[in-house]
Amino acid sequence: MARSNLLPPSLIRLAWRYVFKRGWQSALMILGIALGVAVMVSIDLANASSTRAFELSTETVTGKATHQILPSGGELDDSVYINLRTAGVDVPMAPVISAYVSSPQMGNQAFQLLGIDPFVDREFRDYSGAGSSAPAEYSLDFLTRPGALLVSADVAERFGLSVGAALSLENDGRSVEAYVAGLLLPDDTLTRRSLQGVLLADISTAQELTGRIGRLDRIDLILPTESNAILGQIQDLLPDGMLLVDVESRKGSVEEMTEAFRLNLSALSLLALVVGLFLIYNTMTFSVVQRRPLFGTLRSLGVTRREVFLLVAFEAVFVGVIGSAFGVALGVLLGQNTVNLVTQTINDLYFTTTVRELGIQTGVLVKGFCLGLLAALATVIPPAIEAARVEPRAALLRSGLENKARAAVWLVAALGAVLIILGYLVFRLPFDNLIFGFGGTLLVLTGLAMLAAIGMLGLLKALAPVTARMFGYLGRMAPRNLISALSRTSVAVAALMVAVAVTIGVSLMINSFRYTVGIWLEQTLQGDIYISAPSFTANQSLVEIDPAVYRQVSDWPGVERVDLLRSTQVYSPYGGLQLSASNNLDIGRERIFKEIKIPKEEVFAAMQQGGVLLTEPLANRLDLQVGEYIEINTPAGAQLFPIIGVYYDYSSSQGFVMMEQEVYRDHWKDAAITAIALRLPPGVDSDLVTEELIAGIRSDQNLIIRPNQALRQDVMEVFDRTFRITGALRILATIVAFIGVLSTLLLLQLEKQREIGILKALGLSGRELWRLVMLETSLMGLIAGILAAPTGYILSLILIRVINLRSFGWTLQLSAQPGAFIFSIAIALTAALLAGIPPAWRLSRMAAADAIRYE
Amino acid sequence: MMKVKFIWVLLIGLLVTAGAAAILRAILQPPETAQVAGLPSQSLILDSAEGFQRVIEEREFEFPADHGAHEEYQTEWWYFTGNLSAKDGRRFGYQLTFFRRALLPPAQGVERSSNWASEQVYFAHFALSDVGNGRFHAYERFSRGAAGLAGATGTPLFSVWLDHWRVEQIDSQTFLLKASQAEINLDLKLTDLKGPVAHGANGVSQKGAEVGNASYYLSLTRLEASGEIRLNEEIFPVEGTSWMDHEFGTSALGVGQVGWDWFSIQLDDSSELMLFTLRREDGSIDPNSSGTLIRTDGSTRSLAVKDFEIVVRDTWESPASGARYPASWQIRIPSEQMTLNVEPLIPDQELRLSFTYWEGTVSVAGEVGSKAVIGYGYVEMTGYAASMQGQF
Repeated sequence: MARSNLLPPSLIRLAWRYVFKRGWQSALMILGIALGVAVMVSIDLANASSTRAFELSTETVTGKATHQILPSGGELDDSVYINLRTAGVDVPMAPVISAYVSSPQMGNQAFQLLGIDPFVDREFRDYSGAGSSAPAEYSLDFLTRPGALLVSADVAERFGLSVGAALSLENDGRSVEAYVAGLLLPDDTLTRRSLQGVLLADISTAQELTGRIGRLDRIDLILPTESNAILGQIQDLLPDGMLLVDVESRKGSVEEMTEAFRLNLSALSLLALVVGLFLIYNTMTFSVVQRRPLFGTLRSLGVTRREVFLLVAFEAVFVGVIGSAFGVALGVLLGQNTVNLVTQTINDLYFTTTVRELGIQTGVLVKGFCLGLLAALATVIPPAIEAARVEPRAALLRSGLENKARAAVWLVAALGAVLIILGYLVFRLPFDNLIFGFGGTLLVLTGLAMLAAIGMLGLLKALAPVTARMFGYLGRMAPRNLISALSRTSVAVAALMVAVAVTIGVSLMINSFRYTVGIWLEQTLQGDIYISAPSFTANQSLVEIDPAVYRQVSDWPGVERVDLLRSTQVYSPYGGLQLSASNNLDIGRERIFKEIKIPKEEVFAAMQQGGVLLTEPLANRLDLQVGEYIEINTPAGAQLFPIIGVYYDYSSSQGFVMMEQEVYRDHWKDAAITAIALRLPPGVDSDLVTEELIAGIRSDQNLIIRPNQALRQDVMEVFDRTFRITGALRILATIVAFIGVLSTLLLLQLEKQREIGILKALGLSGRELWRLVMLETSLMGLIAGILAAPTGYILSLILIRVINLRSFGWTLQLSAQPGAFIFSIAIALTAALLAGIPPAWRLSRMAAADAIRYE
Repeated sequence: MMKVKFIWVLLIGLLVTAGAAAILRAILQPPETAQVAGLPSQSLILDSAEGFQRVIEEREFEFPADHGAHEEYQTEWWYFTGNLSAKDGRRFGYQLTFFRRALLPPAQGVERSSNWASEQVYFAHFALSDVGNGRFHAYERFSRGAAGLAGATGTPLFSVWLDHWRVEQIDSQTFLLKASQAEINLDLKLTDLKGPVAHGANGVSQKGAEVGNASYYLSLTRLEASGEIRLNEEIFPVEGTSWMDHEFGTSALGVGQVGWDWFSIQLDDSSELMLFTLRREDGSIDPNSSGTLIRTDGSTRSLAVKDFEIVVRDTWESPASGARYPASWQIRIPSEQMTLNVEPLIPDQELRLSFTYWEGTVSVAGEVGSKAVIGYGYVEMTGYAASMQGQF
């Protein structure tokens, strides 16, 4: 039999029996793997889904277009398209209006209102299908009825809409009436999914619904690969300020933006698995040590080294398979929530996605399962080798092994130091690469974990006199016991330390972030009341405010000063850029500058001369410094603007250019406004004025009017929402570590049953035993906690100075509040104490004879 | 015993896992969004031909106004066809046709604020027969009749266009015709020599027995053409003749009619002949088929079905569509002592576009009385690949 060549059935039975007999042990290993895999799978699912959502929300709607004509700020007049058409540009061209709308009849979620010209759109997008009751039948209504929309049959079903159903659409704060003119049911699932977030309208209807009469959002083109002649022809026909953009490059830049965010999540999720692996390693090593006599006997009975190795590996496979399977199932369950959270965060920070509820990608599940299994196997290799090394006679003495372990402590520590230095060197590499950032972090963290053993040894020796004074002979015994079992206890302490350090590090990072954002808000938000129009992105709104509104508020009683902001999307040789134009003459005093060469009082005057400010993430991303120039496409062609300052800003990780309002208006001939800040004289109640404004402003547009305090709260809420997933991952890692430590300590104490039996026989009371066990575990917890504090601090420094800066371009002020340390040490101690209870309880009640007889 | 314990442990493990999951899900729970039920639905279906005017009585035509669009009628088309020759004798035929179809009668249209809103659908066909090479090129375009993308007007002067395919009148006799696609560019100046001809009964061309199943049918039967054709990178200065047909109405093919054959012939004695036959399912010719003879002096004679005879002498089967088209004809008008033999210059001039039909350049030779005549013309044959019933 081929199988018996690998491992004889009798040995398989032996492994089975062991796994079953040590139920607790096996269950804990399974749990460790399961949680690690679950976290990874759920994050992977969320990442994959958000990527697909982006692709489906944007790409499929882009269709087969290779190029797009876009305005660089300002507007795209539909005459641009009509000129291209009537001038005979002989390539497929299609006009597009694309706007985000929501409807109370469709759950108030974001949909993309896609306005197309059905006469020319077929070459770009094909939404019809054999199953559609559209579009031929509906073409009459689609073209001639105001408000006619085609929706996918899936969407109609989800929201209980039938043909003819009225829809109130909310767009940029305005309400418009539309209705379902027909249903689309494309044949292929991909198109169907992409349609989940789309409301299709004729271009005329879309112009009317969005108020963009005479305007388009873009023109899609399909250009042949060798198209210089046509490119030239189009460029000649395009008015200044209109750009012909390659679709691929445009898509790529958006993907790049979210890449860092997704990579961060993946790294954090891997951490959960790594912590889970500590648990398996620990448990397997323990089980091997425990069975040394057994392996010795087996070897003397003629079982080969290879078979012993396979025996241990088989156990790991068993645990790995079950744990990974549980993990995948749990990951899918968790995934439903992580997908929403990740999509929400991407919506808050980057762009609006309209496609949700995607299928589960089998690839992610397979990857999660395999990684879990492989990890379990990889971790078990060292203990399996150790088992295979057992000599045929009844094995080495345990004490001999421990002596060896103590000698290794120095070696491990030296290796750890090398790793830390290596990690540091990786950070100093000239590449600003996030992967290198994570690699370095891993090196440093592993190095610090390897230092845990020597740290523990030192701390135990230092603490021994203290415990001896406090607890007498028990206080002398406990540290000695821990040192004598150093190979096990140090791994447990290292695992707990890493877990606690991660908790500390991430907490410090989030706290620092929150603290920094708080300071920044304090400095930047100097207005008393803020007015904007509703939009689907949480950071700066690009939605134009009804001009009637700022005419009204400038004369509003009690309003001292009105600052206007125009945020818009422009293009540049670097790709799309966000540009904000402000008339705030105190801008120099109300920003925290990272780099500036002129006095703050002169900033506004310099901006009036055409100078611009960049936010830190943009300056980092484009690698631009003060004194250099930034090139931006204006309606009059590309222009160079001198950079006079770089300031800290946490509202967008893409960053933006800040320009003086008149400079912007001169170049773009655009007087639109997207945010208004009102300043009131001292002593005027901003809540009261806000209420008056809400009641008194006449506009057909719904506006968001908030006092300073409310805006700050909203910003912090978005902030907290962004970090909810990070926080959740931190908790998960802690849970996995907690379980790991619990199991290690539990096993450690159970292993010592015999020893404790002897102690009992020597007259140690149950109470004394109880105290001994608790003392040992709390010492371990305390040491892990103490070691975790500097490790966590180092980790938070790395997260803030390397990972965050490379991922998002934000500099954060480190805010090391003692709370995070105290909380984390408390967690470590609690875990250790809790872990002590079951064995202490059990051992203290066990009769001495039973305990000794155990083996 | 051991297994029982293991299962118990597993169960606890699962419970812990589920507990952890529940806690995590609570942490991860995104905010809920409200949902409101849909409103009651209403049906919006319109009968397509209702509300349009029909061609029942004769009307006074005014030009160039009546060259433009008549949106109160559902269907309208402008056909420009012509036979051209280059200096080296290389022959070309061309067709540039604009179709208009109204989705709604103007009265039923709703006031819309978007310039793009339109009840008018335009499509156009552009074909070039490169006789010298035996090649035939055909293209089509679609558009809405709005926003300046496509349209037709007769005031102040006539023009009809779709994208960059355009015919534009520049004075009472002169039209500029421009169309290009892929490697083909056609640029012609057309000079009207004879003025508009009204077919049928003063322009009312009956298409079926039913009242209103008719169209107004006008032609410019002799347009002198000159200009150039660019084919790939080659430029051919060309000269020749062209023909313009303009027809509008709210009729469809009558019951039992499957298609039509249409002839426009320009003879070297400066006379022209237009004939169309409506074919029935059973292969017979509909009694509403008719024609017009335009004499050298511009006077016309309406021809009823009994006045002419068309004998098909050969056929050609399209390898692409499988349709079998007549490919050689003898036309006889006994009362005029006219016998004309008509031959396509290229066999395959089938337009395989949204609908498939044959339209192409033909040469003509024959006699009128004792005098030999030659000429060129255009022939259109529809309903061979599939019935045109329901299409027009």
